Amino acid sequence: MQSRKVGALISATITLILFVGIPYFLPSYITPELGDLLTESGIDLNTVLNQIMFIGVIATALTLLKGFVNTTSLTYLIVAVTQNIFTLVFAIVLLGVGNIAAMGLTEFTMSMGQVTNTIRMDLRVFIYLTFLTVGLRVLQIYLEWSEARNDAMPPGRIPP
Amino acid sequence: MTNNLRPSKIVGYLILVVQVGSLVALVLGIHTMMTVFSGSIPENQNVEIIFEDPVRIPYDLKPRNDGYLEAQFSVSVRVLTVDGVELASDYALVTIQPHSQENLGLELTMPLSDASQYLHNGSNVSWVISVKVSTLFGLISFSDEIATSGGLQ
Repeated sequence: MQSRKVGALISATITLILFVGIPYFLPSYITPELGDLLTESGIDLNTVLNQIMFIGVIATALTLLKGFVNTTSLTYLIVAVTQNIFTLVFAIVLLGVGNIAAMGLTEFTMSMGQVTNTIRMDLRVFIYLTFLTVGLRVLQIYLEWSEARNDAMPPGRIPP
Repeated sequence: MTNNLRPSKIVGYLILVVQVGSLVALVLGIHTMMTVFSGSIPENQNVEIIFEDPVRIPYDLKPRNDGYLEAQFSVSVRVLTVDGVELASDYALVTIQPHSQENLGLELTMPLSDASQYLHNGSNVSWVISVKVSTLFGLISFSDEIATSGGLQ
């Protein structure tokens, strides 16, 4: 139990640094030229970073909570499933460059003088693969939770 | 049931296969698309216009695939009036094997009367060049459409 708590603390700290710390300080490292280019492309960097930080804060809280609750409790099952759903949301935000509704189909338009440049990137298949992975993870979590409950039963009890 | 044969473990191995497969496909797919795309646009290509009737404007492209996956490369060139009427267009599609190069020839043709009216004026037509690269059996793609208003490019 103690090692699970330590593991959860380490994991939560890494999540916090990666998804909250780095996005928080990133704008100060972006040159004005790159910032202008992103704005012209229709990418609202602040919105994207805020979305990532929001997901990061929730993922950190869920990671901590998961490490501190009993693996056989219903809370553990709910927290673990929610954590995986946030993984899916993160993948959709990342592949859609902040546009959740795009679902992996990203489009940017840049205009410079008389030239208009429209770039489209279709990575929807990876969103579907993330759905598959998260679905399998949810199934795995349920099976692990169910197995942990069976293991915790006193000898001689028949699992439901 | 032993620990290794538990259903949760089996699902865990399946997840590992899906995740590793997805990551490899993502990296190889994006690498292939970017190498084909960056190698498809010739730098400082001089476009020769053959003024006869019909007027011909040939384009030669040599897209190269330095990636590790087969890629489908398509390109279209269109000349449009300010009202959106298409004066000329051509389209080509080719499959490029990994580490190989293909030759593509496009040719815009239009009546001499249209060319005299639009191509010499310099500002009342737009040129639209669309390039699309897809890979992973067409499951992922990258496309770029460049629209330029003005006369001869």
